[in-house]
Amino acid sequence: MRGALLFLLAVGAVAAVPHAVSSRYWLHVANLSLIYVPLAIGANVITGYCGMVSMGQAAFFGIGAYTSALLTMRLGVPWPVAFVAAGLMAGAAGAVLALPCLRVRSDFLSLITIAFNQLFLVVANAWLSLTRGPMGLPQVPRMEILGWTVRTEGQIFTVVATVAILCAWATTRLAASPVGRSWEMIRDDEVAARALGVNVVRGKLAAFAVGCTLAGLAGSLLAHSLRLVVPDAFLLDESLLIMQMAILGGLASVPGSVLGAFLMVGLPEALRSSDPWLLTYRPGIFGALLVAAMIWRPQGLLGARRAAPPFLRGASDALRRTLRLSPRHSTP
Amino acid sequence: MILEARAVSKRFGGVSALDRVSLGVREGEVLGIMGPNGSGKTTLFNVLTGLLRPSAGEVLIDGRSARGQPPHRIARMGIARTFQNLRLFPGMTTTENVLCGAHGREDVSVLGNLLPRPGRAASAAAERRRAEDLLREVGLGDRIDVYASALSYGQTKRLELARALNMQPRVLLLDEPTAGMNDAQAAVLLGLVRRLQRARGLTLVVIEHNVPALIWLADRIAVLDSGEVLVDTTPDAAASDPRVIEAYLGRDAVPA
Amino acid sequence: MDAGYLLAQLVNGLAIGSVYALIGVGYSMVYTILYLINFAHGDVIMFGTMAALALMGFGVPAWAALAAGCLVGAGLGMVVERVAYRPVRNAPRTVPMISALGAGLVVSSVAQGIWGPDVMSFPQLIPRGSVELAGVALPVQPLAILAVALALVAIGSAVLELTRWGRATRCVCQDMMAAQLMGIPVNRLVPAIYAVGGLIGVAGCSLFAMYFNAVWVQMGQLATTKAWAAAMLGGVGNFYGAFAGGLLLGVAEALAVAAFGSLFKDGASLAIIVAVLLLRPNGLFGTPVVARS
Repeated sequence: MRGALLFLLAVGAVAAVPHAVSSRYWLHVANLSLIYVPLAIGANVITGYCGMVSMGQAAFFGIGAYTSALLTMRLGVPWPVAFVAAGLMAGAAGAVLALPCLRVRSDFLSLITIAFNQLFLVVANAWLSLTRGPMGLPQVPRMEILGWTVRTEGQIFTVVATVAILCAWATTRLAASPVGRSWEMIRDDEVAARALGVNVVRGKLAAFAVGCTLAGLAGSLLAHSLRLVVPDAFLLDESLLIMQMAILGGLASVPGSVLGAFLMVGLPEALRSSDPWLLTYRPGIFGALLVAAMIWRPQGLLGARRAAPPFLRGASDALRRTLRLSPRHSTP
Repeated sequence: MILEARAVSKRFGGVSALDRVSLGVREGEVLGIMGPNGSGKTTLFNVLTGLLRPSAGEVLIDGRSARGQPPHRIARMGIARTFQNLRLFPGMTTTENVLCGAHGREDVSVLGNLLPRPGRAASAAAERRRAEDLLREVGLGDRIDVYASALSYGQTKRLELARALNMQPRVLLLDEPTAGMNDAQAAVLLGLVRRLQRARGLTLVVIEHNVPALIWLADRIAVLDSGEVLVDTTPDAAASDPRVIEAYLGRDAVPA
Repeated sequence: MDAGYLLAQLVNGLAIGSVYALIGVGYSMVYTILYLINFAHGDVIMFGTMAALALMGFGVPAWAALAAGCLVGAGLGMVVERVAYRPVRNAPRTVPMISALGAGLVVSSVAQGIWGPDVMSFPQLIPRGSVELAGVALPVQPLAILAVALALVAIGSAVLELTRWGRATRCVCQDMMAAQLMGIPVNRLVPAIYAVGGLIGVAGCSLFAMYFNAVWVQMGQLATTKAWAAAMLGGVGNFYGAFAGGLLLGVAEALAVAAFGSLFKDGASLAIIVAVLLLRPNGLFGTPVVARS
């Protein structure tokens, strides 16, 4: 019942906002933030629900963007098909990348993803015949759904908001399902999860692939709403920003990720003209917030609706135990 | 034998934790395992459940070798366990913790859970009822849907028991179920274990330090010392075995 | 491709590889002892190198500026340990990893505030050019860098083998549980390990800056991947292994560039990371680490 009510509310908002907001600039800021919603949610699936860290989400964002743009431009594929393909491509790339790592040393996943992001940039810049290198792909076709062409910022809002809502809905549904429960088991205690019959490698792989799929879908939205795909949109800094949205917004909380995306994309975008100082120091400010969050509020802004998961609560407990030596090796 | 260790050895570096241990448990039987600290009891559990690979020898489930099987597959073959130092999920509620035991029989594919499927709500509700029934059965009927972190120590032990039972195991391994409890609490918990065993016909392997309690509970007792099976016999015979007494006196002589 | 060119590439590869190794030591030691990927390390050593450059700009003699830069790196490493690691040291490993990353962002942001985002050139304290040796022209600077790196490794290994502190550290690297039981104050060693990693790292980073005649704020990020590829190749936690891994990585990169062009230089390190993970997760020279559970 509550779900249906929320759904109606969301549909109402999506329909009303483009009419209510007349400023193209504010709609643009909202659209950009909404494109980052699936990215932040995807990072949250990986980090918040499953306890892994990906520092290469921008690469999967980019894979989605290039896949979607190239499919529509070169092969004339309709946008909805290219949109799905972008998600699948990014998800598959994530699975192939993560599998060897998850089987042997999953704590190196963060490194592998950094390396992958750098490699992605090298390829995107150098494979001129496919990506046109640093010049990027201009004139990406507009989104078109069953003959309806998406032209204005208001129409773009309708599409990106719908996608964001669908991603939030799907993730909420997954998180409440046995899959989501197995992710939390893996995150909180791998040994117990194994003893309860959880295939840890499979669970982590699924979480990582879902996170990358969401990033790929966001890539398609970016490509066709900005109508330009350049390698510089997918730098390592972007990956770190996406990770911060998930962490600071609230781990294991879908509303937290939505908030994170709006705060970290929308707010600086809105302040861009008024305060260049903030822009220079933005990474440092967010970095300091990360340190502070890990020490005092590891569950993030909205992540506290349930008791903080132990993998987070550990941090605040640690403060009190700072002076006591405790063994880091625990035996099963 | 449902579950059997055959000539299992486990070495860590130069230290031999298990040395050619052969032990098995029959359907419906309660096997008690005792032995001084460091005698290899928990290592044996870790080998039986696949968390550790034996250096030599093998584990058999229903007479078939479980060599190379990962822990999650062994768990799905019906081998459940509890942990000496409790491994609950404190961020989940009691009911959710018990539901974790149902993992092996649930659909855990991503697509399967996203797409609509008839009967999903009904089966989820059935699992939930089953979990709540289990909570009542272990005496946590008034703690349904409470965060696990809010339970008392004795209650967490019961919760872990309920979670393991929800796996509907063929063999249940209990690693010191009464560790950290006073005598009265321990007696109540072991009474519960025995009641559950009788009511459900459980096959149990129990590590327990309290010798009288183990003699009361078990059908057969094995004593481990320095990684070897010292004695494998009836409870009464074990209680009067001079080697057992010596092994235990040896432990008591060393201050803990 | 003639033999002289190949030889020159080999020397270049060894030089740059030894630099990767010096940078990687800090990552490798922290990971071995704390199971923590210290993402602040790259930014800390970048900051130390920038500080050395700035001091030289004020007219401080090069040797003094470099020594001061190394000390800045050591001190900053200890600050990071105190602020971003110690308060969360008992939390699961994801937590200190993220806080280290945050600390790194703060350091690089401050550096960008002071020195700006542009690439700066680094003084060529060792001349470029080449010497003729038995009819083969060998580049001077890479040889000198290799020599300096080898000397630092020799000093490092002397410290590890001969001093009390070094023995304790080696002990902790091998088996922390046993070391704790033997009464080694592991938690007092940790800040020292951050400091030494920063010190050696700044030395490596300065050589890196000299070799490419470039220093910039984002170089810490680049160092992370390369140094880790080196450490993994040699086996994380193995001081000599990390050095051998660095040399191998450098040579592999140089040969990949010689054979396929510069695009494949960065590809080589990624390929090595993945291949090592798949085939020998403990590195070429590493001993198996007991899986934590």
